[in-house]
Amino acid sequence: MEGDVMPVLAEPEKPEAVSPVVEPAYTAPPILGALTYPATEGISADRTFSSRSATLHDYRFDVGLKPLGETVERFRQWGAGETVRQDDQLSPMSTPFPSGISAAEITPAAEKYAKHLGLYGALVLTKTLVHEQFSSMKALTVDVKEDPDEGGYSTICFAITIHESVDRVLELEDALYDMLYDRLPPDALFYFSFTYRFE
Amino acid sequence: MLTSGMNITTLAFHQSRTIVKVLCMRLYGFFPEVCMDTICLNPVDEELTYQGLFAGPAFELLGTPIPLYRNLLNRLGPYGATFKDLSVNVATLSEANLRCTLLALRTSIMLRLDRLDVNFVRVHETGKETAYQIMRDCWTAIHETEGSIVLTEHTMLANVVADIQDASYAELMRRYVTTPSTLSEKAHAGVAFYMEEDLASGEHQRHVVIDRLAGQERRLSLRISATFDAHKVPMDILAQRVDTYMKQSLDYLGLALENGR
Repeated sequence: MEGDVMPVLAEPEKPEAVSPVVEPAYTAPPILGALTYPATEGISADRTFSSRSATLHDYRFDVGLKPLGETVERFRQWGAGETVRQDDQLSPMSTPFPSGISAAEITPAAEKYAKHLGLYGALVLTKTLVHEQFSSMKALTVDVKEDPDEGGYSTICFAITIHESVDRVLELEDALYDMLYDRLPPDALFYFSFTYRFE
Repeated sequence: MLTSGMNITTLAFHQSRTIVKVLCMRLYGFFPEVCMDTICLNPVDEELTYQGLFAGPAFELLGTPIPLYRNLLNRLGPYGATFKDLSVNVATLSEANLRCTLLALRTSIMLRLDRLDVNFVRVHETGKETAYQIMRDCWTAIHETEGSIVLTEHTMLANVVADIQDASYAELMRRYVTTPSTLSEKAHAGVAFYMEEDLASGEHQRHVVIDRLAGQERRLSLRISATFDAHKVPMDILAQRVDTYMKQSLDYLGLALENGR
């Protein structure tokens, strides 16, 4: 029809080319636990923490604290995860194992059995407690172990490889059991077992 | 003592029942009297959601998040929490939050200005005790950071998908609902029970909802919720009260979750 005008769509603006961010020269990171946060007059931080990253090895940590819009502290760390481990004050229990459960340590059968029993959370906790208690151990494998003498009764067995004396291991095991009794649900204690391989 | 008509088997039954009753009373504070009609449910998926409301906005926590970071990492480190799992977003005051994700345990924790939300997606795998312990550890971390924060109420919601043992969904529903004759025999019903409030013990907004899962004759969806007055039910006894409430509610309906989960 005459007079009708086809609408002309505006051409979208082209986004600016994304250029890689060039980081300043690496400096030794200060201890985060000692980072003092200035008194703020209300919450005005527009961005505090961003610890998400595409890969573990590109781990990066930003802090930008702005009381009333003024940046008073800017702190950056980047590297290969060791930046986190340098600070024992922040997470002494989690630092040695930042990625949680390692697939190499827990067999699929053990994982499946623990989930079947509803004890996977207890398994995760026990794994951390074992790491904490046997800090000098060389390896840890968690697998399902069947005891034919007990009519096929299966346990989730933590096989600990360690270079210590037997007396020392028994001492550590006592301490471990104290922690397990304190932290684990009672059901879990029936299904978890521990063996030691001495190097 | 043996009486006439009572043989060794029945005596053993009575003795074992007495032992079970004593254990139930000690563990849960009640004993389910109607045992014969109980239908067992075997959970195949279970989600637990906790919400703890603060008495007032927790500006101190999110305004200076580093101490809370430290305490949360210390408390949740044993469950696999690291820096990667924590993030703070305070861009918008009303939506300010600190989030922690425990991926291995399918657990997310979100602290807001007015409340703590914890969501456990696969409790049937990770264990309810672990979930309760994480809740307590979160609260401990908060309290270590800012001791003045007070909880006013806890709300627990359990979403369970369970297999029905030895019955179909329709048979189970017939216990509670008579479907109108005008409807087809194949029509399904769902049912919601809103329990009486028990203000003396600090329990209110209690409900149990049983619903169907389309096309699954021997499976159901179960939602159990309750709100607890935090002044009467502090965090350290919340788990026990939740377990008691859930078991009791199901027992009244002639249901039981297998393995007491």
